[in-house]
Amino acid sequence: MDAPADARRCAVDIGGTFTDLVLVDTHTGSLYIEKTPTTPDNLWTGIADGLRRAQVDAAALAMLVHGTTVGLNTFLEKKGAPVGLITTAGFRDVYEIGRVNRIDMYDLFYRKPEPLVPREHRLEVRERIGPAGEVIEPLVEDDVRAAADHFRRHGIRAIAVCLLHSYANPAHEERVAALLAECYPEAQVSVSSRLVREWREYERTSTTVINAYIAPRVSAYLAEMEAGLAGMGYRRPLFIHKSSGGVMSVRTAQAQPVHTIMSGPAGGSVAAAFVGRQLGFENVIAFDMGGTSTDVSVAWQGELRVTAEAKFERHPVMVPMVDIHSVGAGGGSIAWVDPQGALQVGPQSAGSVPGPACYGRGGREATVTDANLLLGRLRPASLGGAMTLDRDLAREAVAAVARSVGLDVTAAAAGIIRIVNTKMSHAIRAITVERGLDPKDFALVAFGGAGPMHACALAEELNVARVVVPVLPGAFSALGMLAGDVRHDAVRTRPQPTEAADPASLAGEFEAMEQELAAVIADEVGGQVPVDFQRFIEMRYAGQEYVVRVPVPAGRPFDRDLLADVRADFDRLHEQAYGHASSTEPTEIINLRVAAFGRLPRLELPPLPAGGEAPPDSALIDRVECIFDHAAGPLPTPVYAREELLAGNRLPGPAIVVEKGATTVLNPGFHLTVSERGHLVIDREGR
Amino acid sequence: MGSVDPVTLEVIRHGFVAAADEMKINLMRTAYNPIIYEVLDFSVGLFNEDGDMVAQAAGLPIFLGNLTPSVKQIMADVGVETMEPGDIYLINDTYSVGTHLNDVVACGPIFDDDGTLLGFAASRAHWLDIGAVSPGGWTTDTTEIYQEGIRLRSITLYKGGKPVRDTFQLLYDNVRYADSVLGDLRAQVAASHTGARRYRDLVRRYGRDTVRAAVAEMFRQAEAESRRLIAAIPDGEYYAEAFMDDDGVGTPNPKVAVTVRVQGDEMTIDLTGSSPQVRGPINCGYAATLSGARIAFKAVTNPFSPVNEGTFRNLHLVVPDDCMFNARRPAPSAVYGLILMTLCDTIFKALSQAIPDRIPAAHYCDVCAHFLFGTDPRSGRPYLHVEASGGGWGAAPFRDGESTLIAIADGDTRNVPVEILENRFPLRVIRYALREDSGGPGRFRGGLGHYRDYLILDHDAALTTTQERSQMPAWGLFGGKPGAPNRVVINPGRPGERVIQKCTGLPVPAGTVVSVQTGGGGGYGDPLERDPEAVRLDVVRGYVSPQAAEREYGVVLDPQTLEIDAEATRARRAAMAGTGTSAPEAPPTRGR
Repeated sequence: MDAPADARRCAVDIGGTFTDLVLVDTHTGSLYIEKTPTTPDNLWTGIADGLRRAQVDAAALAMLVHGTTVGLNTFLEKKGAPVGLITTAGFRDVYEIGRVNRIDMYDLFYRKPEPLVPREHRLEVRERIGPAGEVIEPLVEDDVRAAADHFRRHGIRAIAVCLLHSYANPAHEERVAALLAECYPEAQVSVSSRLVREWREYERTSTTVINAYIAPRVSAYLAEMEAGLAGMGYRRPLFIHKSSGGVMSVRTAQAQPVHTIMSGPAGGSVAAAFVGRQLGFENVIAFDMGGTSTDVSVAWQGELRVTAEAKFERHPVMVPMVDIHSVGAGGGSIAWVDPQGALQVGPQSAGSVPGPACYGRGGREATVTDANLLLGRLRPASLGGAMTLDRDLAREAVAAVARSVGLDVTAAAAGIIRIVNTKMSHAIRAITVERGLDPKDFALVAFGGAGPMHACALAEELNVARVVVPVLPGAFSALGMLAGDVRHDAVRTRPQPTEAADPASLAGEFEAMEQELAAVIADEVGGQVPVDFQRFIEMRYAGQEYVVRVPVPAGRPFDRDLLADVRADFDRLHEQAYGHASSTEPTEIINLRVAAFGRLPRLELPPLPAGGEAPPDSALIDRVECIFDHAAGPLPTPVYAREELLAGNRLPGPAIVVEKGATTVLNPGFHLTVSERGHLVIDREGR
Repeated sequence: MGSVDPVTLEVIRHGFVAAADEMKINLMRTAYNPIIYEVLDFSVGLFNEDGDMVAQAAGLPIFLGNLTPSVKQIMADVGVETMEPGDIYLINDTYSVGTHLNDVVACGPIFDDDGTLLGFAASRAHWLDIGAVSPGGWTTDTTEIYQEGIRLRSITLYKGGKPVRDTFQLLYDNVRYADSVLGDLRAQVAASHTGARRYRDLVRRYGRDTVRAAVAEMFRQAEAESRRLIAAIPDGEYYAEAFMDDDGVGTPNPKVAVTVRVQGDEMTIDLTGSSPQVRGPINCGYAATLSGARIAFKAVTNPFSPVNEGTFRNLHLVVPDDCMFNARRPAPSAVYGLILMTLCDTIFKALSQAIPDRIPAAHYCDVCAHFLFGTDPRSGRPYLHVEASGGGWGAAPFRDGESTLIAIADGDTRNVPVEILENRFPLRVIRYALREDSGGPGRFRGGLGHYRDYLILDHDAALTTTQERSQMPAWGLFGGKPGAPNRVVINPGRPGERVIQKCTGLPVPAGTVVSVQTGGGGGYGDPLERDPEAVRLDVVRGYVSPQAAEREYGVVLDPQTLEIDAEATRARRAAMAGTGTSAPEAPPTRGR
């Protein structure tokens, strides 16, 4: 890609309620955001509308990135295509048997995830490959043809193929795909080893089936969008945001739509890491608090933590995704009193309809938003001016809860906030402390409608050093989509004792994976971009199950010394994560992983005009009484308009900063500095 | 005693639950053996200074009741006044803590900065081996506990943070696969430290008195909730009984007799009438029996909420002195879980008289554990593959039973993926499939069991397994019929085919096929009332054979198209109803 670095870029992120469109033009120094209602029945119409409304000249765009929920919604709403599954003879039920576990162990009526392929459409072919990739029984090709006939007869055109040990040797799966292409060319085939070269047959099957299930809809939708954009004059490749936090081409997304399943939320994580890097913070907690839930994720030493163990409604999906931990706590979370008399918050949410009591849309139950309003942290007109919040309704709702637990209204409101903060802090602990990371080494990047309101309290709770409220906290995921690179991942399961491993053959494996990935990237961007690779070896102590992902140092010859260093790093990471390690214990190599990044021109955010330490007078728009700590009572608190703040301005807490779609609450004991690019950097006093 | 406001209470409650979860993750992720990280045969908990459970994260429901007695036994044996920070004690003694010797508890006291005892952090994990007569334990034919491994009762593993050499040496010399077992023990110790750290964090943050008050209030609230839920069950005395196959060494049909008395907000589970202690290893210690009673209690009250000591204060358990549910020295109890699972189902059966719309039919009722072991010809090293199997669950009053789920004693227990298993062990799985016709017929059908067939590769291996309840398989309710029984078939369909219910160390030479065939769940309601369309779909899907559709459900299908022959179905069903072919079966009556 030869696009100039200062060209215009646009991201379109479709959410359940709104479609966010962000346009960055560093040439003119503009950062533009447009929110349009999502049009679920014809998504492209809504997007096209937004582009027109934002007066985007598609022909002048250097890059357009799209975060899509079509794949996820197709899955969640169970509106995918009928799928047929081809398995190794004797194993068609692996997909239905699953892992036999009962997560809710006292539930006598526990249900497994409903298979997306009914048993009569799970067909077996005779073949067998062994754990070392050896062919034990050749593929009986007539079985494949018979399966194709069956699927054709039943009008099934989405086919998933998952054979045992295909991660070790995909030859039979590839042959099945080739035969299907020959005798049933209309079928859209998903092949497990093309999606994930890792062991665990149930999880790989589930991943492949979901891919097949959502592929027809995602493909059609992306084709429509591509054509529509071309009609508007867009001439560059359309990129689709991946769950792993990078982007891919439309063609790849059509073949492997399972990579889009966390497309949107991953954008927020990427953006948080991006903003962190810009500000010089390598370790970042992304804290995205919305109306119904809070998503948290971590970037450690500049890199997003990625997992391949995600589940959706108990269906495992084994492809790399940003490791996002969700908790049912948001602005709309309802406060209630359980039969034991305990005050609870969430996970039920008032959603946007009827919404919190203070919205005046018929909601009667007290929510976190109502509590914030009563405590003075949220201003009655602060939701973008479109709606005025009703304090009386909020008070009435919170009072009902307060009575049942014997507290006064303010104490109950403060309690609701404390409890929801506790839940969110446990979510953050789960992705930091439980993995051996100390929150005090992190900056908390707070976004989403409610994130900036709770960030200071969480920073205190978790002993986080620093809070950042970035620009565009209300459309932050879309911003992240512009900050990513083209990303593709490869994995090979190659179990072997580390001590006996042959460095040359490992190096060969890595190089082969890298070549494959580089070719994909070159093909996708239609030219040359610099490609960086990160290699990882996943190891464990011999006999353990869980692996630790160890980065392989770059730029060194792959030899015994390097392996010894990787081994030493493994001990260190194991100790860090789990509190013990043993350098004398034998270890095993399990998986080789490569992440390839096709580097796109760096996103530059426009700078904010500079000002002095004191904010301009125009920024101070109000003074309110606000409660931060119930015991301390209300404090006089100035309210600032964010759009009036200048780079270099400093505000001491307590203070409130309002902008369209978000409110930042600066607690006493914190002070805020506006960064060069407009991010609000919040530090605790005395640190 | 301090006091606590409702908000701080909630914050502290979350803190304890999160601390227990963190202990669980820590243990799981660093354990060496699949029985911990896949089977999740462990539990962790935090206890107050009296040894009462404040929070627990159980891998298995079967451990619901018996961590508390473990902690209390250690307190009594060692004396809290002699304990110091950094101590870790071990206990696995069946007669104090209920379970078999493989389940070893590691427990450490937690002290405040000023030396005040705050409580305990404990973990129980199934050790791959404990030095029994046969690798892995789980013996089906032992007659004394001395054959089942080494007993540890409140043994010091660490004193003041320092490892006790004697203890480590003793363990190292007396268990098989010692390196990997000690790896698991390290994980247990790390989990205890994690729990202790989190407990201290809470105390530092909120103060000792506040935390104590919060714990007392958590107990009180949990108790109030349990009382409310038991009060909603009609008062009465509900009796049910069931029979085991045998005790492994020839005692036929030990009886499980359950009387559930509900009176106001109290529930008593009385096992009077159950078989006396038996010679074989199915006996169960009192503390484990208590777990079984608690599982049933929890399932019919509040299955989804966290538990603490208060949850069970209105549950009473009565067990006669001489009873297989009250093992006394030197009774063997290597496979104590078998009667426990039947106990749960029998309690449910009794309660089906009181709350018929909330109780499913019986499930396959055994984890159908199998152990394959030998020497790996590739490496020359001994190996042991352990697996718990899923089976069919009973039909609910409102829908079919679930297929191939783990039994009630286990919970978030997973099978071992075939691809991982074949990498690790000289075994090949040649079939892993649902077992047609294993679900008990009923208006709602029982869930299906499975076939899991192993081929022994290039070496002579041995098999230990239990497959209980062949004679009284998962019963149906209200006209539903029983599911197929559990069994292992050696070389199915080949010369030398034989059916196994229990065996210890049975030789299975190279080339042998070991087919683990788990049972189905019982049906609910009269099969003749099942929607013919549902029967047809079951046949299309291969859950039910066309023959069984006709024989059990009276649904006749066209053999070619599998369409319902409405005429023939009506006739068939009328005939069956007339002759009572499908009438509910009376439970078999057998002497003890």
